[in-house]
Amino acid sequence: MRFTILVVLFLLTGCTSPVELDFPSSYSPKVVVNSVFTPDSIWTVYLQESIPYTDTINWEDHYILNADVSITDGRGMTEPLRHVEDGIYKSFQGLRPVPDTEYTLIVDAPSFVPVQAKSSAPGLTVNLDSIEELQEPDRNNLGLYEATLSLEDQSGSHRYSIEILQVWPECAAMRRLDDLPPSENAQTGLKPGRLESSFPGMRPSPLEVEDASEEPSSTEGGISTVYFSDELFEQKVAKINLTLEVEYYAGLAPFFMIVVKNWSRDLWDYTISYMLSTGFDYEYFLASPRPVPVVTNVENGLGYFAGITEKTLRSDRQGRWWTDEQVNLASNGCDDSN
Amino acid sequence: MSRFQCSCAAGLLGPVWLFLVGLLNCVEAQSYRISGYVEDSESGERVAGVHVYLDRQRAGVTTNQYGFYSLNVPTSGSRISVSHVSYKSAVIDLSLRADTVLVIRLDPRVVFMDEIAVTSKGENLASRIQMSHHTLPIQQIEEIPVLLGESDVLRTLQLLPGLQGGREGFSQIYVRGGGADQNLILLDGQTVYNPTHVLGIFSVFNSSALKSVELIKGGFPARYGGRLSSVVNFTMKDGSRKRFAGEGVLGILTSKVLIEGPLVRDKASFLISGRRTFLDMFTRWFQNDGKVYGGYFHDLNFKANYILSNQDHVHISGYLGEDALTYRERADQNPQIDSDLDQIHKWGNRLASIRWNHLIGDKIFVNLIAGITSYRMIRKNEQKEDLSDGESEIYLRRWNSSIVDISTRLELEYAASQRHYLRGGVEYIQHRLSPGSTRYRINSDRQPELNTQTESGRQFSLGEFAVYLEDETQVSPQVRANAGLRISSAHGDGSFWGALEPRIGVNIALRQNSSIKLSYALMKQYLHLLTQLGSSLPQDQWIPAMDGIPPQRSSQVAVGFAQSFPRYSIDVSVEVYRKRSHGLTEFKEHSYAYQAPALGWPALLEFGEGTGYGLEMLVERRQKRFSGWISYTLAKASKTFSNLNGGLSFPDNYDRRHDISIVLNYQASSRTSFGASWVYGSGYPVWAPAGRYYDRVYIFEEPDFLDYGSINSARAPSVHRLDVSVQFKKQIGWGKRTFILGVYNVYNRQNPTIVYPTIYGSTIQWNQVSLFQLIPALSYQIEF
Repeated sequence: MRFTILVVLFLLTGCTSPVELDFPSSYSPKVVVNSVFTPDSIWTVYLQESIPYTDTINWEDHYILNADVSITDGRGMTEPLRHVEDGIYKSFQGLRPVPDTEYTLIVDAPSFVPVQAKSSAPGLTVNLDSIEELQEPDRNNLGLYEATLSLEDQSGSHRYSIEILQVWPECAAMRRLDDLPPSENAQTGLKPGRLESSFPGMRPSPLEVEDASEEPSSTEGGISTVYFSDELFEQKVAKINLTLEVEYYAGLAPFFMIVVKNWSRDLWDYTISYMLSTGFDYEYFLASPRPVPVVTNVENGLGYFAGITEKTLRSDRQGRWWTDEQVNLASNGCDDSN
Repeated sequence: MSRFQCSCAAGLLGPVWLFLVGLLNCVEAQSYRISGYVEDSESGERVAGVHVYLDRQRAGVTTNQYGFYSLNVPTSGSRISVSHVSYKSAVIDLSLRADTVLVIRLDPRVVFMDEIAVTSKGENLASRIQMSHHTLPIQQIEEIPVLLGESDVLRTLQLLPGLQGGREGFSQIYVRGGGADQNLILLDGQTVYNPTHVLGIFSVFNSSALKSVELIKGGFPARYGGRLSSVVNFTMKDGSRKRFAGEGVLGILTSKVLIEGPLVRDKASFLISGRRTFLDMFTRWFQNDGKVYGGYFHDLNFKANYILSNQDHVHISGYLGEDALTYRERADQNPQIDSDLDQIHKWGNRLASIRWNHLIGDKIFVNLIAGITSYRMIRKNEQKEDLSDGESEIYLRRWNSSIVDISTRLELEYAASQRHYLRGGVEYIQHRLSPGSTRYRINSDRQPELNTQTESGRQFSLGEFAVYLEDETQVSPQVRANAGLRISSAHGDGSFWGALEPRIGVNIALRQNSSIKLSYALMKQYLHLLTQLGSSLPQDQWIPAMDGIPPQRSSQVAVGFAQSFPRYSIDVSVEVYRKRSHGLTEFKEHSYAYQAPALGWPALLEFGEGTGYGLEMLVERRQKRFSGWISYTLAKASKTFSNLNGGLSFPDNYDRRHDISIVLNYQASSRTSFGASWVYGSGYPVWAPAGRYYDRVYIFEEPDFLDYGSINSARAPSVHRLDVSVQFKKQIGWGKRTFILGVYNVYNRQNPTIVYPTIYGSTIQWNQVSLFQLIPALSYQIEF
């Protein structure tokens, strides 16, 4: 829809200019929670306070350093989290996230109303059945591979994504992956590859999965991540074909990483509301005369406490698993990349 | 003579009608009835809104939408005056010896020539019972300067008091704090669900094809229902029964053509009018890389009518309109494209109706109308790849939202006596709504195992029934009233709702040409329009009342004062109103239309109340070389939802405190006329953020987030603008040509269409988008 509106209205004589506006001056800061958990991960919660709209930004001054933070699983287990630094709270014992278990985060910070949030990380069963080369590298050093995945859908409504990453030798544009172990001799990084799939219902954005009235995004230039729901394979095993376009680099054979995620509804809705909220941003301003606030599942606060389960499927061109050491994959990136 | 004659039509409305007709006739003094139609002498068109007035008795009626009138005239003889703003007045002396059918033909008025002659007798603003009511001559609408030279009826209505246009430059109307869905917009009696083209910038109504426009924003007569805030009644021309005529207009944005003429002279006629944008035809030439963007709108009006006898008149009319935005890729035109792609986004209205006007014994006017109307929006994405050996792979995704109505309505009018004019009717509408359905289809020769076809989305049905009765009555020499009752009901999906909707309008004459008016109306609406983004866009979805979603209802009280100065053709009116609405809908926080298939519509919505009150003033001058109006509105509109904004009331999206419009037309000569309009409106509300925060983990492109405060608590800058136009008309051998020059926003005021914040590092800046700055326009029109 946004594209449509832009096309129509830019045919006319639009002009943007700064304008003075009066807006409410009183504001009570709220606790902002940022926490994504995956099965078996260490609980990590980022806390800060929101600030009045007109204040100058200096986020470091607004970390919450002295809150009581704990996680409970509803079955009597409670995991207290300790402050590490800069408003970051972590667990140091016992309780790790388990798939399909609902957890409650409780935050009690001085001078704030206590906040709490609930979420779970959905289960995920996915396998890489096969991968084979379809096309030798062309004159642009681009080759094609076809991969087949088996994705077993659990009961309930689920939202998935598949992302293709490729090992490449340039550090400058590499992608950081915090869950990979560090490598001292980082020589390579990961960059988004390009994929296509004829599997029905795959869309280039979560919003388009949910809202069929959304104008389809342009896929020109290829996309690295597709999103889809289990609407067409509820509680079945889906065979998903992916066509991967990869680049060949001198001295580095293709190494792929296919990341499959099963999103909790909390994180999925947060992402979509973020996308909708950008409809009020300069790029898409015409779509939304009314702002769309970003969703929160934090009672009395802002932000999110949300689970997601992901599984990384690695393969080289022969379908073999590879390790970080094989490719000297950096975990923290090159010095100049961030 | 009209005593004790009970007709079969009386039975159609049941015992109530029968009783009232009989009763009112019994008490009537000795009189004869004169009834018939008022026609345009040149075209034979029947004319609505003509005042037929008994001079001596100081009583009269106005022709209805179909040009029909009926009066009881004393046997002692009388004189009637017949007047209409667009026609030369006529005076007829009568000496009746029996009930009489009289067809009155009026000569169209040439404004420049009639400067001195025009003095309107009979009904004027002060004597009219109906308050909060406006009629605009199409001729006047066409002389008001407008955007891109496109005569726009809705945009002209925005210049009247009590109407807001929403975002600057758009054609929507918001009446007395009501939503866009609360306007009953009728074209020849059929509902138009989306009255605008180009996402709201132009109205769908082609002024060339229109005969009259009527707006009611309060004091609703019982014959109207189904919406809370206004009735906008468009009537299409019938087409000349005398001669073939035509009109062509070449404008910057659109071109249009109209042809009308007799099918059987003096008996039957037709009219057909089309309008289309042509920008897409030019842009197509410049896109030759296999990728083509396109966009257009068009509409087609058609009507035919046949006068079967003095008692019977049949009309068939219709409208087809469509907007489309398209994008195509063609593999055979660009080697870099693998497959053909068609992305189509279309929306539009389709209406058709058949109407039978019948006179029962020359006394009771019967209007029977049946019709169908639909509004549909389609978004289609189809990809087709031709494989080798003639095989192909097709992926289709189609989203559809629609509402289709099949309706029938029977209306009866009867001038029972000099003191009572009765109207009654029954109406049934069957709505079929599909507020969003999606169809996927994959047809692959390469991978037949993927072939699939799915369809999702729920359809709803709603039956709406109403019966009404109203009596326009002379209570005393000083007091006239229109009292009515509408009984409405709706059923669907196992639910049933019913309502009594009392309506009353009272006119108390203070002295000649001045009066006080009062009105009360209770309205019920069984449909909701869900707007996710706070303004009306084509993808907004109509849903019916259902279990968990109550109907909307409103009550409105208005008090007004009217003073007419016939000598100067000036009417002055002041009205105050208060309107309360219930059952209004808003999306819950963080609920979106796309969640409906999973959660159901009731789970997504909040229900609340609306309050609107205001003061409206209008000074209007008609029928002179120098005509126009000045309007001022002071208004406040707010909403309250228990789960939004902390339960506190907040301003409506289009709450505007002050609104001023000045509209002037000057007929300098028979060949030249000038038009100008100046508008001022205080700023619309803006839902501004109060706080901000940062996402430290889940990194987006813009990790800054806004914590929005109280809904609509800030205000955008005010809007003002001057538009001017000049028309040069010339008689040429075979007709008339008109050259129109206009300038929109003459002094290039940068008015805010949209206001939005942008975060630049540590600072936030508010910006406004001014879509329509100084825009010159010209168009060339021929009539023959």
